[in-house]
Amino acid sequence: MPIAHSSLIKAIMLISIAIGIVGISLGSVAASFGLPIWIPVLLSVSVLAGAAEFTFIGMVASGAHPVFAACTGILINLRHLPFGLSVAEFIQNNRLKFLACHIMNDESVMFGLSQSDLALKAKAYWFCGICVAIFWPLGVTLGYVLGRYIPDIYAFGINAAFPAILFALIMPMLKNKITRRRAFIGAGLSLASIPFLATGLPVLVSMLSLIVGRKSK
Amino acid sequence: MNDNGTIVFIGVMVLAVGTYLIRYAGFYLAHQISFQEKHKQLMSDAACVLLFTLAVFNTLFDEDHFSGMSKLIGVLVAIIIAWKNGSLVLVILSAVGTTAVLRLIGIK
Repeated sequence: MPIAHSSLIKAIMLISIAIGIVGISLGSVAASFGLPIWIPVLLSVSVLAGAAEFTFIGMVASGAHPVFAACTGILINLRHLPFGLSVAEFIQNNRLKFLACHIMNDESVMFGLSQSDLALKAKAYWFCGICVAIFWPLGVTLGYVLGRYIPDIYAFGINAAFPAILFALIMPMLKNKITRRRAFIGAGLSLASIPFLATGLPVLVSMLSLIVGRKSK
Repeated sequence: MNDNGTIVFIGVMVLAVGTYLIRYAGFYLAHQISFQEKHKQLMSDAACVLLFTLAVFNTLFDEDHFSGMSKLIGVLVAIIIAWKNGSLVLVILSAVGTTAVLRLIGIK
């Protein structure tokens, strides 16, 4: 499904704004825990991975050792390993790769993969990655400053934006029979593993489904 | 507090460096090994399967509890619009809009 340039840019902007709003909620959560402002801001710039940051702040605020909280966050971020493998197809192996790796997140990888040719993939990846790298820390900082004056953002349904855009971008790829089978089996395995594994690990169980497609072809 | 601040700072740095190394490791590995065509398909499938699973998880859960019917229906509406070749902007707005309206009328 080739997506027109301008509509791609609009979609990336919109998702970045949604990410900024989620950032606001992270900032306000950190403020409500009474953490100093540098913690959420430094996290948002240096880690740039939302779920791990929420977990880190939640654990530190509830008294867990920060290094233990960091290890839990790292576990959640393990999914970036296969992301790196996929992104290498369209990101050049030059100096910019160090920056390209830092802006690797669910959204930038998804927008990159969903494009039709290598040049467009790289453009979508870079544009989305940079937008997220700007909007996320901005949102977190704003959220901390506004603190408790922020109404419950989830009342506005913002958290539905992320899964919706993921499904929309993945859909064309699921036309491939093997990919589709792997995706369904993988998600099923992950869901089934939830009761047995720690946070962050069930998603990785989906990787087992990659064996399935290889055998059948 | 100062001591505590140092430990938290170390924690943040451990998370940041660890995350960066994970990101870089995949990228580095892929450039070290030259993959055959069928393996390239496997690589892109790896990300696709992960993201699909993430999408399912994010639809069903907030943190570690069921996220409620409103988001579930909102995402389903968005999927239908995406399936009917609606624009990505429309997909995002329909998901957010439907979920917000449902929550407004009291469906969690």
